[in-house]
Amino acid sequence: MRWLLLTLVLLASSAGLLGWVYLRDRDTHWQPTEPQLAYAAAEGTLGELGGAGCSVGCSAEALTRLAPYSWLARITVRGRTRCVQIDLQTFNLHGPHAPVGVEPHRCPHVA
Amino acid sequence: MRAALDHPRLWRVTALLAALLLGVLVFVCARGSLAVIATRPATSAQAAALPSWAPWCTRGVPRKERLRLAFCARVEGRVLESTHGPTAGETHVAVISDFHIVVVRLPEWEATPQRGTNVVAIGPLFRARDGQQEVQAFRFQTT
Repeated sequence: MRWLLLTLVLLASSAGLLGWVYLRDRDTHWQPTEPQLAYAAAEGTLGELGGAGCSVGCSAEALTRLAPYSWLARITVRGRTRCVQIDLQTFNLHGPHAPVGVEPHRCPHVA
Repeated sequence: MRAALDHPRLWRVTALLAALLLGVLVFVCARGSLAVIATRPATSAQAAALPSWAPWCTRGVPRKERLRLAFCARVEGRVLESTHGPTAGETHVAVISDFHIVVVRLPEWEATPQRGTNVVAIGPLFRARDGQQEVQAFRFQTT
């Protein structure tokens, strides 16, 4: 019986080791802030508007908060800049009607 | 019940296999290294004391949509898994290194490494979407 016990202890140790490695640095309570969500949505929109894989002359920036969960973003694809209003609550890059929650918007004047 | 469990030779073999499994896991998890520079050096004296890989920490634009955990990190380890997306051209690999699991976001021009490949990544350290640590690789190398 002691060999059986030893087997169980060793298997439990293996499972414990894997669980500890997986969980030790993980923070499951982390939630992105609204500006972080806006930046992520702007980056995703950039990809949808033809900026995927483009590193020169392409950028995405969350500019201002227009309303709760609604952000103005500036998207530049190969030198051409346009602005969009992103609704973070409905924003979705997947599905037949993607991108959802993105509407064209006038760009703010640069002083 | 007791009679069914009374097979010392069988349990000796299973104990040996379980010990082998634990040994392999410890060996795999222990390999590699993770070094973190917590904050950007404020003075040139502090910058001079940084490791030789530190110049790579500023060779890119850090992403703004993630919580930043540290100025920079260098991770060396084996690739466990790779994923593509959510945006086109975005690739992440999970790396096991010195008893840590670190997600690495690859530069867009890098090919996805195969599972088991030894890799080195250098860049700012963020909190990934799934809660793990994530290095945005400004420097990525397979070794």
